[in-house]
Parts: sequence; structure tokens; C-alpha cells
Amino acid sequence: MNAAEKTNNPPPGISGPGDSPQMPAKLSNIVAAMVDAVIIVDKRGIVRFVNPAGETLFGRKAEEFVGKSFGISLVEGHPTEVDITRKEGERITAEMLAAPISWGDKSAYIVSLRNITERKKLEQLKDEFIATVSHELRTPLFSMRIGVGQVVDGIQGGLSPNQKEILSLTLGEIDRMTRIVNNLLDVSKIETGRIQLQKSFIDIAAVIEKTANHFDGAVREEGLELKIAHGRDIPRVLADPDRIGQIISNLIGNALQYTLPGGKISVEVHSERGYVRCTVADTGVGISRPDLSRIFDKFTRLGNNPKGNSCGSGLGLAISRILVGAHGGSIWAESEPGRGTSVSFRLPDYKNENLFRECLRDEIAKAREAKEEIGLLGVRLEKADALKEQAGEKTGLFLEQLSVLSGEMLSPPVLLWCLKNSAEFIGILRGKTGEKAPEDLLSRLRKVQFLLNGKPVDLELSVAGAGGPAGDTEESALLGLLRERLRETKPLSVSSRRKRSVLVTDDNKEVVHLINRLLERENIKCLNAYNGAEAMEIVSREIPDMILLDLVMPVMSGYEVIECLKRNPRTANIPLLLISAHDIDEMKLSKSASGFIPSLAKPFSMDKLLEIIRGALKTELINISC
Amino acid sequence: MNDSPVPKKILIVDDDRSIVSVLTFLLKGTGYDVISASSGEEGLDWLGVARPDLIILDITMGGIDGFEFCELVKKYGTFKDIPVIFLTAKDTMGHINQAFELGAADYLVKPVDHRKLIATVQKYLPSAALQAEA
Repeated sequence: MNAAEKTNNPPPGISGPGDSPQMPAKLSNIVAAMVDAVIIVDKRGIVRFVNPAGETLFGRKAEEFVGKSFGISLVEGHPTEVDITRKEGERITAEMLAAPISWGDKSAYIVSLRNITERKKLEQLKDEFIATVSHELRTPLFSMRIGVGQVVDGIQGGLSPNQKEILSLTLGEIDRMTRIVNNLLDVSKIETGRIQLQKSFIDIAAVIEKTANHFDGAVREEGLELKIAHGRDIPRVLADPDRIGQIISNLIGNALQYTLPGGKISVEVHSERGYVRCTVADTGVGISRPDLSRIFDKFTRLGNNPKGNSCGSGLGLAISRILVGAHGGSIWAESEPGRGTSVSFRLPDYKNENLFRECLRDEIAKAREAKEEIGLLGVRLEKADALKEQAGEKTGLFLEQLSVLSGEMLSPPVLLWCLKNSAEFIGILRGKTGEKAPEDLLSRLRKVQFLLNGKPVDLELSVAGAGGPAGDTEESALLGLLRERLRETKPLSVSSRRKRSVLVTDDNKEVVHLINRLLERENIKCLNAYNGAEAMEIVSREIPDMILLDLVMPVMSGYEVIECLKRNPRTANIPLLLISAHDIDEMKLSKSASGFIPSLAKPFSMDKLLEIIRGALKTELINISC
Repeated sequence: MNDSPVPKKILIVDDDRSIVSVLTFLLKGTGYDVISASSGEEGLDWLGVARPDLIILDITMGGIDGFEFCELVKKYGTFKDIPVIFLTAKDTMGHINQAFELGAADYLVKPVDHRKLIATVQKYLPSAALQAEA
């Protein structure tokens, strides 16, 4: 027994009033010598204890800590990363874990921290390295592909059968290498959150067939049989066709690797209870129970590859899992060693109302737990017959695409389910009541004209929202309320034929008259107001596409008008142009509204005014090709 | 109607020599005439000498990059109707939007299948003097 063990002195780091318990000497040695920082924080957030490693981590002595506020919010249950500025100003990143502990007779938290600054630097370097190398490899691969591809296709003259075969094989190897490089690039993009999906409603059976057909040659070479089957009436799913192709390629590729000659691979697509499920099954060597739980992990390749060649990067299934997740679906595998393996993934049918209601119930429950709000955004197509006349059999496809585009018009984008035979688009907004979203969407739609295969289409769309605190909300009541509001709301005409209107607000009648004459020639409707109050009255009746606003006016000034407009979500997004003979009082303006509001000082040229108005009223053309 | 129509001329601007070589073979093999530049500056030089019917343009180049080149081309009256097709490894929405805002006719992301490249070129330059035999 040495001197340190015999002592009863409080170990270094404990100070403060005598509420700290005695720590047995051995334990106190452990805490004192640990490389991880250990800090005790009481329920009020005050530090009660810091070990020497903690002093090193923060670059402060215990006396500077204890009795003061910890200053970092604690999260129980899982590690979090926190940025810490040391005493000398150096910034580090630490991983923090907190757990409850009783400290004397009170409850407190034990917090352990580890400096991970080095680790994070390495991770970032690794990500940059992968991205750069993959990028560098893609260029020569592209060169090679263009070169070999055009020769194989005979663009540079005829080939002997042997020449054609050899070059076809080479092309296949180039593609294989491209896939591996793409996988690496994907992984680094996914890790840094940079992946982007181009979703539309697709015929998944067709995508799967097309992808599977690519494997015909390889399947025959391996002496296997590939069968594709799909149920009837598979609904179109909202997905990125290239990514679905990528997932299927990955699954079939794996099946090829692990199935010996004479075996069978089957690809099936079925519609099940609101989901579309796709299964790739093989009669291969199978996967053992313990391995089965690991196959979706990154860089995992199983050792029992019967064909010996270790091709692939071990990333395919990991990427597939992430891609399926990004589509709102799930992926799983079943296997019997020696008999075969089947990997299935399912994607939600975003046109299925039962599934929608189920998801809505789920979201309400989750929002309730988090004490959040929940809302719905709805868009309804009115006068569907008019559209059917123009679009014919493409109507359904057109509307599906429209639902995707409409959802993307919001920031952040909202996933809109395509319900009631595509005449109704509904999105679930968690954490919001759905108050702002309809107005944001409407202000976007006012500036847009849709084209179907290049030809203008006139649409009448009702947009509405409903929502509230999740605690008071029930699924069918919320949906019913939204549908009622959609019925009651006045539809917006999304059409180039809708006459644009400009609210002209100025106490100078001459100016108003001049602007009226100017805009009439442009076929723009003028709404006139001679003071702020009149302007607000007009706005309450009809939303103009733009407002020209003088600032100094009787009754209600332009500044007050701006304040009113910005307060109401219905009017906050209307383009404004300030026309003022006086200098703009920037202080007053910034109190009414944040952000930039364009202005044109009087006297201004009519040409300039017209240019600005034309720019603000410019319609964005969005083409939907079916 | 001409008996032997003059082949349409394509200008490729890309600093990667291998890509320029294989693309030249490909486009000539499909019946187009090809001139190439390995930098934006060289591309502008070419424009002074010969008027291409189509431009295939990379983005990342030293000196004048693809966006600057496109902007310059679209500014001058004589050249602004020439269709510009971007062919680049950059695939973010930001780059794509910028290209279309500068007046690009199309945007292809490397690596692209050679058949798709030909199909896109033919969309903007329909008649090739000689058709390739598949």
C-alpha cells in the first residue's frame, strides 16, 4: 500500500463546499489519471467537479470551473459533438456523453468528454481524398468509354467479330470500373449530405426490366437463369429512376456473384398494402445469420464468395440502403445458407390514401411526443374536365409531375401525396401549422405558367392549409378540415391568360394617371389608391401581382403599408416597388421590413418603370413533358 | 437542295486533350467537321476565324472558364445564336442553372454515353453530311 492509497485527502479537482462525497482512494486515482475528461454538473448546470484531464481539455484550472456554469447543454443517451474554445482561444471539437448520477444526496450529471479534433480532421481529409480521386479517375474513364464505345458501334469502320468481342469486353470493364468509382463518389457525397434525387412518378416495373436486361449477357456467361415477374396494376412510384436502377443493379450483381452455375435469379415486383415491393432472390450460397445483420454496413464483403474474385467495393448494399431510405422506403434481406438469399425493398405508394392516413397518424403521434405542431398543405385541381380536354390520356402523368413540382416550389420542399385520382395533392408539415405554406405556394404559382410538352396549359388550383398543436389533433378531423377549406377557398388561375394586376399607390393623381396609361397598353390591370388606407382596403379584396408604393402619403404612409403587408403571410410576398419623390427614410423602412425593397426615385423615366414592372411580372415557364 | 451539303462545324472547348481527341473522332465519324480549342482564349481565337455551327464546352479550364466563355459568346451579335452545349463533370443544380441562365442550349454531365452525346448534338444540328453506319 503506498502513500496515495492510504490518504483520505480529497483528490485534486474537488473543491467547493463540503457536499462532495469521499471517494475511495483507488477510484480517485482512476479518475485523476483518466485521459477522458470527467465533469460533474449539477441540476442547475453548475460544475461541481473537474478531473485533471478536464483541466487539460478546456485549458483551465479546476478553480476557474467549479462553482460556475458549465455553459454547454447536455444531451442524455447518445454522444454529441461540441465545439469548445480553450482559454488561449484555440478551438477544438470534443465528443460528449452525459448520464445521470447521484452526487451526495442530490442528482446531477456525469459528463465525459474526449478531444476528437484530430479524428475530425482525418475524416474530412478522407472525404476530400475520396472525392478528389474519384473525380480524377472519372475523366480518363470517360475518355476511354467514348473512344472504345464509338469503335464498338462501328462509327470508325467495320470490325471483325473477334475485334468487336474484345472491345465489348473492354467496354464492360470500363463500365465496371466506372461503377466502382461512382460508388466511392456516392459514399463521400452521402456522408457530406450532398446527394440529390430527381424524383418523378415512374413505372418501376419498366425500370427494373430495363436494368435487368443489361445483365442478360453476364447471366448467360455465369450459366444462370434470370426471371423477371411483376404483379398486375403496379402503381407508379415517386422515385429517381436512375437510383432505382442503381439499387437493382447492385442486387442483381450480388446475386450473380454468389450463385453457382445452374442456379436461378428472380426479380419480382408486387404491390402490397400501399407499398410497392421489389425482391431479388437467388439460389446461391446464402448468408449466415451473424453475417446477415452486417451486409448493409459499409465496406463489408463476406468471405464466402464462391467465385473467388473480390470485385466490388463493399459499398453497394450500404448505398442501396441509403438510397431506399431517401425514397421513404425500407430494405431487408432473408437467407438460408446453402439454399439462397433474397433481398427486398419497398417504396411507399404516394397515391394510396390509406397509406397516407397511416403516415399522417404516425406523424401526429411523433409530433405529439415532441410537443410540436402539425399541419397539412393541400392543392386541389378545379375544372379537371378542362385539363382532360387538353391533356387527354396524359392527364394523370401531367398531374403527378405537377404534384412533384409544386412540392418543390416550397422552401424547404414538401413531399406532396397525389390523392383522389391525382386531383388533390396533400403534404404533411411537421413542426408547422401549415399557415405560411399555402401563401408561399400561391405567391410562387402566381408567377408561373405550366406547359404540357411545350404547349401552355391553363389550370385552376385551390390551395389551403390546416393545422395546430399535435396534442389537439386527430387524423381524420385534420384531413376533413383541410378538404373543407379547399372546397371553400377561391381557386387561383395559373394561366398566361390571367390578367396581371398592379396596385398603384400615390397621393399624386397625375402620377397615378400616367402609370395607368402606361400599363393599360401592356394589358395590365391597374388598381389605384391615393393613400395607404385605400391601398390596404384594395389588398384585402384582391391580391395584386405587384404594388407600386409612394412613401409619404396622408392617412396612412407607405411605411405603415409595408409593415402591414409584411405582417400578413397572404401579402408578405407581393413584389414591391417604392416610388418616392423624397429620400427614403432608411431607419423607418428597416423598422417596417427586413430585407431589400427596390425603389425608383421620382422623377423616373417611364421606360425604366416599365422595365422593372415587366421584370417583376415575368412569368416563369415550367414545362412538363409526358 | 444541295447534292453534297457542307458538313456542319462543331467547336469543342476543353482543356483535356484525350477527351478532345476521342470526341473529335466521334463527331467526325458521325459526319461533322470539328475544330478544337484547349482553352477559353483559344476558343475565342477560333471564333474570330471560323464560325462554328455548334459549341461543346467544358467548364473547368484555366484562364477564361466555360461560363465566362459562354457569356462572351452570347453577348456578341454574330455568335449569340450558336447553340452551346455544356459537357462537364460538374453536376450540381447551381452549375446547371447558371449554364441555362447564360443561354446554354443543353447541359450534359460527364461521363455521358457517346450515343446520348450524338443524339443531343443532332437535336441542335440536325443534318450531318454523312450518316454513320451503325
